[in-house]
Amino acid sequence: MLDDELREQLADWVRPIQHLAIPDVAVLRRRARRRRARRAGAAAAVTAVVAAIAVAVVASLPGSGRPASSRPQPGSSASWRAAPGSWTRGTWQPAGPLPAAAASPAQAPYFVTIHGAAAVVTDAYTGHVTATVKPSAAARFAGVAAAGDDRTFILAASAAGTVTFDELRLRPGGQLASVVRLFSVPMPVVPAFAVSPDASLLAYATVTGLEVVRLAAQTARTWPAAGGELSSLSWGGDKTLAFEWSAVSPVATVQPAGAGVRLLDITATGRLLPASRLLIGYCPSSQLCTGGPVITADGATVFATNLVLSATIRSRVEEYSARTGRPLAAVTPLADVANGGGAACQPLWADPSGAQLTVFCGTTGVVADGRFSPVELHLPRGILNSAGQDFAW
Amino acid sequence: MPVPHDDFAEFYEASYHRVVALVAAVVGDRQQAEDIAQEAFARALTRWPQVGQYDLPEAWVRRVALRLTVDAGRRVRRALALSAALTVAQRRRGEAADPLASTALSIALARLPLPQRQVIVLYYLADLPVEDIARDCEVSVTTVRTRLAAARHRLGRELKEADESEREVPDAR
Repeated sequence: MLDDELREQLADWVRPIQHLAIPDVAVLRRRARRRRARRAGAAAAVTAVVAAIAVAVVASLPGSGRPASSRPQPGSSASWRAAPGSWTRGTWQPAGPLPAAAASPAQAPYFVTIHGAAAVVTDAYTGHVTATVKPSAAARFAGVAAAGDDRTFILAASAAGTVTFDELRLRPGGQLASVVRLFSVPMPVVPAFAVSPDASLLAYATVTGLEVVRLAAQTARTWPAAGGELSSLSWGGDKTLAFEWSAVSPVATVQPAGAGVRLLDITATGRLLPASRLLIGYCPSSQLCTGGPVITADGATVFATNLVLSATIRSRVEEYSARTGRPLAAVTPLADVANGGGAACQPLWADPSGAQLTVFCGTTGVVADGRFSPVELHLPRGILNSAGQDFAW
Repeated sequence: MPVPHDDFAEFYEASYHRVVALVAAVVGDRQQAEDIAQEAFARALTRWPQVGQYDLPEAWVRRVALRLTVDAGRRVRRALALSAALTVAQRRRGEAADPLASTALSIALARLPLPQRQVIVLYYLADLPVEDIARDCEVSVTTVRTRLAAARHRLGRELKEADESEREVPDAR
């Protein structure tokens, strides 16, 4: 392409911006004031973190009294260390019992969305909002993850360079039971996170890799990773984590080595890629890409999105063996992404064995015995194609 | 055109659209671009006694905005991918898409790594010499030249492929 042509096309492309209204300087002043407040908050948070680290270091010295909560648990690896961040002691509670294998999706009706400034709990079958949670002052919710009991969710909120994780618990009718602070870590954003079905483990991506935290013991383990991005974390029980590893650039033509759906056994140590195994290659051909894994609670089955690229972009949900990575079945028909409002087909919820699941594929539906049946589920418009992690079921 | 920068409001009004346009071309999203540009101007406002004395306060704002695009890059990743995919589908269906995401150029730009996108936009849209781009991106002039060459090559290839793909499916939807 000629230089002049490129110059001209770029100028044409951004020309509509010349007609944008310029916000008043007062808007900038308000923004600057908020920023000053955030920085003051961040300074306080750093002080708290430094103090927490100092306490942890002193406690771990030989001869020091070590807090019972950071003691390695029987049968666990000694390589777990004190979890980073500032913790609220004694607040974590395990999730309730999981639905039975092959349970009907109707037994798990509640999902949580981040909508505006609030986290909203909705009954998917009636559309009723059963609870709304606001973040603490000056914070905004950055994402939500679901445990396996349909009553326990983890909310991440960010403010002043700190991400805070809270546990949200619902009553059987979906009403709010409690929101308790678990811990906060100094980082500006949390790119992706997931909580295990029993809510005992929280995995979160950082700019340098993956962190898994044992919430009861307040211990953590890190797997460094570079050259790609972690997303779509999903727990298979409390040992296996499925995730997508792909290029940081949105639609890069060159993917990093080992890109695709990968499985990590959290007893493995070392760097993330050697410690995990590639289950499904990201784009095995120029016409097919696979991502967005959801692994079942029994760790046996992975559901993932296939993007089929041809004259149009179509997608479907495919079932894979978590042991071999072999495709087992296409659980939805192929649907044009544009017909789904821009959202690709994707699994939304699966029972612990994967026999039944709810999916979105142009329309919402339930898959039982390998058969897709449309069922109206009350999902907020556009929630499945928003950036970030604004939806959890 | 010389910009009077003894008064912030005047400077802000004179340079706002240029900064938003530049950021929009880098991140591919108008609202995100406005947000980033406003943050950069807000930072300039808090330091105006100092920034206002610079020869080119707009260069300072631009540099801050570019740094913010790096922070924002991860968050817009999914939106960009989706926007690119959706745009292709919409174009083939003959629907009007977001004017900032409706061209083969915007899709090809979104495919570039962020550092290459930055230099292409600074060179071709902001019309800056490579020395200034090197300062803005905090890299050497050689790095800028290398990134420019790589980005040009890749853009050319992507646009050619897009053109051929359009011709292959003239009646699609």
